[in-house]
Amino acid sequence: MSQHSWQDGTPVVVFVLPDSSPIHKEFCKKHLGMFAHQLRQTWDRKVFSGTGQAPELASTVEEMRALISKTPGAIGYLPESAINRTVRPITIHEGAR
Amino acid sequence: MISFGDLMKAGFTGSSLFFFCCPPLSADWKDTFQYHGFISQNFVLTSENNFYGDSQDGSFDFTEAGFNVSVRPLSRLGLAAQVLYRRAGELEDEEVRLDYGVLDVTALDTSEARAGVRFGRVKNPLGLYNETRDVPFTRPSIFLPQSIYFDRTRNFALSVDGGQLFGEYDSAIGQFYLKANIGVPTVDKTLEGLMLGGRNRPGELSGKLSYVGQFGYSYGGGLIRLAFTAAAVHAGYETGRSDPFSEGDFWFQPYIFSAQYNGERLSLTGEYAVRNTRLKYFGPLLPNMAFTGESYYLQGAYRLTDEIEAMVRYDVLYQNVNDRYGEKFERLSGKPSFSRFAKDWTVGLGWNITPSWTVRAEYHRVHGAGWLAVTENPDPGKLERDWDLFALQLSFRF
Repeated sequence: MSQHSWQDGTPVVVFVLPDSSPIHKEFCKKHLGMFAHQLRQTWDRKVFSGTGQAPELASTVEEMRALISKTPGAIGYLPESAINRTVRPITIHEGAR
Repeated sequence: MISFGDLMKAGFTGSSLFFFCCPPLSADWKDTFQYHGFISQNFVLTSENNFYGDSQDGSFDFTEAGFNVSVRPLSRLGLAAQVLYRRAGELEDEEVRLDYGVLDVTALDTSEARAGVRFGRVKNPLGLYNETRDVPFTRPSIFLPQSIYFDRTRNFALSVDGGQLFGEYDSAIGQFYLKANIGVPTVDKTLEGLMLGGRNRPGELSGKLSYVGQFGYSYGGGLIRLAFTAAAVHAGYETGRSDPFSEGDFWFQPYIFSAQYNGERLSLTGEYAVRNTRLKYFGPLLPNMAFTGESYYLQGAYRLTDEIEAMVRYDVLYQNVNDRYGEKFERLSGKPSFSRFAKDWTVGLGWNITPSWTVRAEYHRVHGAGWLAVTENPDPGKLERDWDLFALQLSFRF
């Protein structure tokens, strides 16, 4: 989450669900290899020392989908059941740069 | 710390989660604007000795509040600033100050490495907690371990006006980072009071060019964190009219070793510091001196539930390793020997009532008065060697 921009230079805007959300916990554990409270601490340290920005909070899966679809440069995660045509899936490969 | 690269590299198959991004439009920089803040009110009660106000009668004179804004007008350019309000009994004057104000220029920004410069007032990376020491929910307890994060001369080591070089590299075995600060520290009346035995001296103590560097390693998004900090913080005294002191120099050179394990339920943290202090050229009233202090603590925290955490800590401070228990100090000054060390057992409990509201309670059993302030305990004859401290905190964040 430290990288600021996509390859074309567009700023990255990251959306996450609340810490208590099981989907957020799964995202942290499976895809970031960390616990939700570690992610929170890392971001808090950055935000309150002036060395980084926090992810934007989406309260629900529906809000997450709406925010991703209307915010340029946004990235987030959704369960399979919440997919529709407003968002663009990105494939994440092992070793992708 | 995780990087965006980790996210990109993360395995995808077999999961019910999918990653999505926006329509490919150019981003609006206004979408990067953020603001955050916090406020805390504390209650401090001590059996003997004063800490954060008149605590022997119960003190509410400890309040913290902060508000910050940040924006990223260009992908490689960021701006961030935080204003801090603090009320801390007689430890320091009530104040509103610019905590940090930085222009962040990222020269290198790839999925595995970032590097750049931050200009302005930058926080000093001393140990694991200094950069966010005034932010209640980034601390493990109401009071940070006072052996390393002493509150009585806190402002001197807090930040520098100058710049910071930073670099991060995500390797296959974890992230390595380096932060190097160069600039002038903030010197306030508390340091003057501690060094010169009074706040109202005719001259003025001011910060001089100082250096703070930290090299660190983080594995598994913070599962294991290691850091080494070295600093040389410098101040000089400019004499005033009929000043009993001459133009002196003050150096503070700490070396801090930090280690942390941060698991799903259990966290273990330990820090060890050696602190060299040197005073020179202040004249006959304050002879040249150099002494080395030693500090360490061990801390365990256990997350009983997602909302409730219990902690225990043992924290030790020696002001002078050549006179650990202050016997020589007492012979020379007549002040109590136990004002030169402190051993502090702490137990605490924190409850995140909601994502915004947190309450904490903690109890300290302290042997020694090594980190108490003269401003709060002006009569050394009234200091007690063994004392208890109880504190409550209510904090709110947004």
